[in-house]
Amino acid sequence: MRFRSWIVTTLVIGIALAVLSVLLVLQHNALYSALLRQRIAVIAQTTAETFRPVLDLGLPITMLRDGDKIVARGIAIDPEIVAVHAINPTGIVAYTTGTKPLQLSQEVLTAMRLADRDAWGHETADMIYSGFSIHRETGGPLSGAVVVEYPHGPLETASQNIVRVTLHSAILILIGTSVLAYILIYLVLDRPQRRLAALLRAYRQGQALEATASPDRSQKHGGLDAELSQLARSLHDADEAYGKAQRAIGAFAEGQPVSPTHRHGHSEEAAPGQPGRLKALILARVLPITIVLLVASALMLGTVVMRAVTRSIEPELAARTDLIGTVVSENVQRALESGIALDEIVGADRYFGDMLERLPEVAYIAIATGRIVIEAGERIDPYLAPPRERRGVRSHPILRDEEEVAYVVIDIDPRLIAQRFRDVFLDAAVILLVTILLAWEAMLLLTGRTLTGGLARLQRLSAMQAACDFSKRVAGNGKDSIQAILSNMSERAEALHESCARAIETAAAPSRHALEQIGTRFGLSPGGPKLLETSSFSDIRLALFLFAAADELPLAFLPIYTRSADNIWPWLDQSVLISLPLAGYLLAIVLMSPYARVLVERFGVRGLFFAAALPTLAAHIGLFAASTAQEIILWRAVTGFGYALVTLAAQDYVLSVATRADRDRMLGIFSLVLFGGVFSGVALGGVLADRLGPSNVFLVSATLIAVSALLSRWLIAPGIGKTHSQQETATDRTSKWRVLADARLFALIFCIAIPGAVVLQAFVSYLVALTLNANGASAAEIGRILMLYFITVMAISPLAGRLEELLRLPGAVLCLAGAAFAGLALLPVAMAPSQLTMAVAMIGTGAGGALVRGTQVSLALSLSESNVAGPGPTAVLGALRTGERLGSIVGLVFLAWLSGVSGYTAATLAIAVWTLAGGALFAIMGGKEFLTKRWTSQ
Amino acid sequence: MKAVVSGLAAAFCLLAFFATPTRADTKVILGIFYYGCDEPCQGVQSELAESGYDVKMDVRNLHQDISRLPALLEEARSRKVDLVITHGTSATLGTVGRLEDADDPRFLSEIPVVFTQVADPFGTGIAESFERSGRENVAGTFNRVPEAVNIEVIRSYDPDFDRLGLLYNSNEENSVIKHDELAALAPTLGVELIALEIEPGVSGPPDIDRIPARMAELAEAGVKWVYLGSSSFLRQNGDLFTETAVKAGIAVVSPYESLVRSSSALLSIAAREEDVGRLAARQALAILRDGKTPGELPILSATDFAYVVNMDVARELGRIPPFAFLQVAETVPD
Repeated sequence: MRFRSWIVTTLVIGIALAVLSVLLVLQHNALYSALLRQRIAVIAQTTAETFRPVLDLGLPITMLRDGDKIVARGIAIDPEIVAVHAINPTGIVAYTTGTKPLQLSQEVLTAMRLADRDAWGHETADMIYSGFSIHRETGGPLSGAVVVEYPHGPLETASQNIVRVTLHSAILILIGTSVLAYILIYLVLDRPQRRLAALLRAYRQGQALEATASPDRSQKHGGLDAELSQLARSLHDADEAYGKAQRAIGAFAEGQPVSPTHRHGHSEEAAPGQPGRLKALILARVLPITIVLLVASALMLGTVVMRAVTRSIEPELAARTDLIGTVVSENVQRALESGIALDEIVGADRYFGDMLERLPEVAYIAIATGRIVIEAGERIDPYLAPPRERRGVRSHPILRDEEEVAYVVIDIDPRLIAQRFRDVFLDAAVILLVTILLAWEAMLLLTGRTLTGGLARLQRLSAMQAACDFSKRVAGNGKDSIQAILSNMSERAEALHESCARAIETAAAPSRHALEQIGTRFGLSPGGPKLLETSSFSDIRLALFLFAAADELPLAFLPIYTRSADNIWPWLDQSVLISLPLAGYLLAIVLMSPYARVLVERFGVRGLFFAAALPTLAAHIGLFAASTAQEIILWRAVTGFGYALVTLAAQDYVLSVATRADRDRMLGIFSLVLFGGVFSGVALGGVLADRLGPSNVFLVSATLIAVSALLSRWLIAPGIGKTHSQQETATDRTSKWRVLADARLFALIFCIAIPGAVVLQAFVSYLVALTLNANGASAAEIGRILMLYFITVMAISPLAGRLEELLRLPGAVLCLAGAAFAGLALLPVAMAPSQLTMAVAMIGTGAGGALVRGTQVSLALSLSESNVAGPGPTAVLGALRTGERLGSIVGLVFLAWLSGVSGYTAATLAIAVWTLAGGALFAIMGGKEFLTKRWTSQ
Repeated sequence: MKAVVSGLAAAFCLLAFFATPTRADTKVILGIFYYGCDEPCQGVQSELAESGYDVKMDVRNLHQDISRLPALLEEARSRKVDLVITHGTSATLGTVGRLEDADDPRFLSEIPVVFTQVADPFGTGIAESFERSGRENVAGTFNRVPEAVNIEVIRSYDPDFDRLGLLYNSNEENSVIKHDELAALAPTLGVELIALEIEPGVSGPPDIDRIPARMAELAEAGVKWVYLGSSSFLRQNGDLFTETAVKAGIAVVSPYESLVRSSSALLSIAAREEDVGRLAARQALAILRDGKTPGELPILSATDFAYVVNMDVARELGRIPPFAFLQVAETVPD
C-alpha cells in the first residue's frame, strides 16, 4: 500500500511537472517571439514611416525613387535581419534588401490582411515576420506595408535555454518531492499498513480474526480501525458463510437435507450497494500529502522557470529600447547630413511624438547637447522609475564630422514594463491552475484505480460473502496479499457455484427445488459468479474533463480562425458567417439532446461515450484541415453532436453509479468537473494557439479526445446505463411548448433565460474574442480574460443555491439580480472596450450567469408544481432548455449581423440593453408578487 | 613612298568599306527633341544601346521652334524611318495632332510615334487613356504626379500654406491647360490660386523681362509658393524664373527636377528625366523589336519619383524642410 501510494504520488507529480514544463516553455516561446516581433516592429514601423509621406499623397509605393536604399537602412541598424521588404497593397514587393520575390508568401499576406492594427506579425518554422501597414487614414484602405524577416535562431537559442533550465529543475523537484512523499507516506500509512498486514496474515494463516476485530481497539483508534475490524469480521463471516453453503450443498448431495436459514446478520450493514469506507479513509491520509506536494512542486517549478523567463526576456526588452534609440539617432543623423544644424531642425518634436504614439512603452524621447534641443513625450517621474529601468539613459551619440554633437535620451515607462511582467506571471498562474486541475483529475483516477481499488473490492466482496451472497467474483491478476485473498474468495465462489450446479444436476426432482432454493439463498447460479463491478464517478471524470477541455480549446480564437478561412458564400455577411460555427454547434446540441437518453439506454454509457467521441475526433481533424469557413461550420456542428452525447452520457453515468442520497452532490461535482475542463480548455487554447498556431490546436483537441475515448473504453463498465428505465422518453413533444401559455414561465424563458444564454453565446463565445483581437490582444490574452467568466461561474454556482436560503430571497429576485449584474457589467465594455473593462464584463456576466443558471431551474420546477397544469416538470424543463438554446442561436446570428453593420461595441450594448430590458420586463410581469414567495407558491 | 602609302590607305579604306556588312536591317528612329539632346534624349540613347538591338536614333533639335516641325515630318516620311520619338507637348501635337486629327494628312499616321515629356496627354487630346492611346500608330509615356500631389507636398512642407502662385504663357497650350486644371483643383483643396499670365495679349513667346514684375506682383499678393506648371518657356528661362522668385521670398515648386538641382527652385517631386527617356525607348523597342502595335500599348508611367530639396535655397528663404521630409527627401547640394 505504501509503495503503491508513493508510486501514484510520484506519478501524479511527474505528470503535473511534465505538463507544467511543456506549457511554461510554450508560454516563454510565445512571449519571446512576441517580444522579438515587437523589437523588429520598430524597424518595420520606422521604415514604413519613411514611406508614409509618399503614400499619404496617394502615390503608389512603387513610385518612390531609391526605395531599396530606404529598406536597406533597417539592415544597417540590425545586421541580424534577413530582409526588409516594402510591398504594395496586393503584396507585390516594390523594394527589398533581398532577392526580389514577386510576392510574399500567402500566409504572411493573410496575417497582414487579418491584422486589426498597423503592427502585425507572423511566424513560420524558419522565419519571424514583423510587419507594419500604412493606411492613409484610420480605417481606410491599405496603401502599402513594410515587412521585416528575422531568423528563428535567437528564439530557438532562448527556447533551448529555457528547456534546459525547466528540464533540470523539473527532474530535481520531482526527485526531491518523491523522496519527501516516500517518507511522509511511510509515516502516515505505517500503522494502517501494519494493521492490514496483520489482519491479512492472520486470515491467510487461518487464525481467529475475531481477535483482530475487537471492538475496543476499533473505538480506540478511530474510523480506520473500525473499518479494518469490520473487514476482519466480514472475512470471518465470509468464511463461516462459505462453510455454511458448503455444508448445505453437501448435505443435499449426501441426502441429509438441512433447513434453509436466513442470510447472515451483517447483510444489512454491508450491503453490496454500500462500499466500505476503508478506501476513503486511506485516501484521506494519502491525498493531503499528494496535494501539498503537487502544489508545492508545481509552485517551485513555476517560480524557478519564471525567474529564468524573466532573465530571458529582460535583454530583449532592453534591446528594443536600444533599437529605438538607434533609430532616433539615425533619423537625426540623416537630417544633419542634409547640411542643417541641430538647432535648425523643425518638426522633429511632432515626428517623434507620432513615433511615441506607436511605441507605448517609451514615455519620452529627447535629443540633448547638454541641454535639451528636441523633445517629445513626458519625462518619467523619478519616483515612478525604479533604478533598473532605463530612465534618462544617455545613449546613441549623434556625430558630425566624427565628433559627438548630441545624444539621444529615452525614458521607458516603468509601469508598462511592470505590466508586461505582471502579464507573464498571470499567464503562468493560469497555466499553474490548469496543471493542478488536470493533475487533480489524474490523481483521483490513479488513486481510485490502483491504490485502494483492491482494498475496496476486498471490502465489498467480503461483505457480500459474509451476507451469504456468493454471486460475484473478481478478475485476479495481482500477486499481493489482498489480491491473493480476493482470488481465494473468488475461487470459493466459483467452487460453490460449480458444486451447487453439479448437485442440482445429479439430485432427484424433489431435492432439486430445495437445492435451487439454497442456490438462490447463497447467490449461486449455473452460469457461475459474475464479475464484481466497482464503478465510481472518479472512473469517468478524467475522460469528461479532457473531453470538455478539448471541446473548448478553440473558444479563444474560433471566430478569428473562421474569419481567416476562405468563404465560398460571398453573398453572406462576414460577421454572420463567423458566428455560424457556433450557431451550428448549438443547433447540433439542441437537436441531439432529446435522443441522448435513448441512445444511452440502447448502447450504454461506455458505448455511447466512445461512439460519440469518434466523430468528434474526426471533426477536430476536419477543423485542422479546413480551408473554408463552410467546412469549419460543418465540423464544428459535428463537435456539437459529440459534446451533447458525451456530456449527457456522462451525466447518466453519474446517475447510475451514485446512490440516491448522493445524487445531488455527485451532479454538482459532475458540473464542476465539466466546468473545470471548459475552464482549462479556454485558458490553454489561447496559449497553445499563440505558440502552435490555431489550426494545430485542433490536433491537440483531437489527441485529448482520443485519450478521453480510450479512458472511457478502459474505465467505464460496459453495462452501465443500459438498464436505465424507459421513463420520459416518450414525452409529448408539443406539451413543452404548451407550458408557454403560463405568463410567468414565458417571462422566465424570454426575459431571463434567453438573454442569459445570449450573453454566453453571443458575447462570451463570439464578441469577446473579436473585440479583444481588434484591440490587439493575443490569443493567450483572450483566453486568459475568457477564463475569468468560467472561473467566476465555478466560484458562484455552488453559492447560488445557498443564497436563496441565506438571504431569504425568492429565486425570482436572484434571477433578476443575475440579469442586472450581467447587463450592467456589459456597459463599461460597450462604452470603452479594453482588457480591463472586458475583465470586468467577464466577472460580472459570469456572476450574473451563475445566479440565473442556479435559480432558473428550481424556479421553473416550482412553477411546474404550482402553476402549470398538465405537462409537468419534464415539459417545463424541456421548454426552458430548448427555449434558451434556440433563443441563443437566433440571438447569436442577429448580434453577429449587428456587429458587422454597427461594430462590436454596438452589438455588446445591444446585449446589455436586451438583458437589462428582459430583467425589467420580468420584474414588471412578476409585479410585486415576485418580491415575496407568493410568486412561486400561489 | 608617299604614293605607296596613299595607295595602301585608299586600298584599306575601300577594303574597310566593302568589308563592313551592309546594315539594311538597322532600324532608324527619328528623335524630335525640343531642346536638343538633353537628359530624356540621352536616356533614350542609353536604353537603346543597352538593349543590344540593332537600332539607331537620329536626333533632331527643334530649338524650341515648332515651325521647324513640318520639314522634320517630311524627312521622316521620305526616309521612311521606322519610328519617331517626340519630346514635349508642342512637338507631339505638331507630329500627331489630337485624337480627332487621325485622318489629317499633315500629321503622321503611317509611322509609329512615341511621345514623351507631355505634361497632360489626356487633357490635350493626344491620348485617350492610360490603357491605350486611341490611335494605332501612337504610344507614349507619362511622367508627372497628379497636381493634387504637388499641392499636398507643399502643405506637408509648410502647414500654413494656403495660397499658390502660378505664371503661365498662352502661346503654349500645355501651359494654358495646366492653368485651367489648377484653377479648378486648387479651391477643392482649400488653396487659393493666384495665376498671372506673363504677357497677356501676345500670341508668341512672352517677353522674359516681364517675369520679375509678375513675380513681384505675386509676392505682393501674399504668395509664398509658386508653381512652375507646364511651360517650356519658363523651363528654358528657369534660372531667371527661380532666382527672381527667391529674391521675392517665394519658393518655387517645379515639376522639373533639374530646376532644383541646377537652378534655384526649392522643391520638386518628379521622376528623373533620363528615366523618362528610357521609358520612351522601352516603348520603341516593344514596337520595333517585339512587333507590338503602338496603339495597343498602355501609356507607360514613370516610377522612381523623388522629393528633391535645394538646401541652399531653403536656407536663403528660411524654410528648412521639416524633419519628416528630410527622412525621405534627396537634398542638394549633396
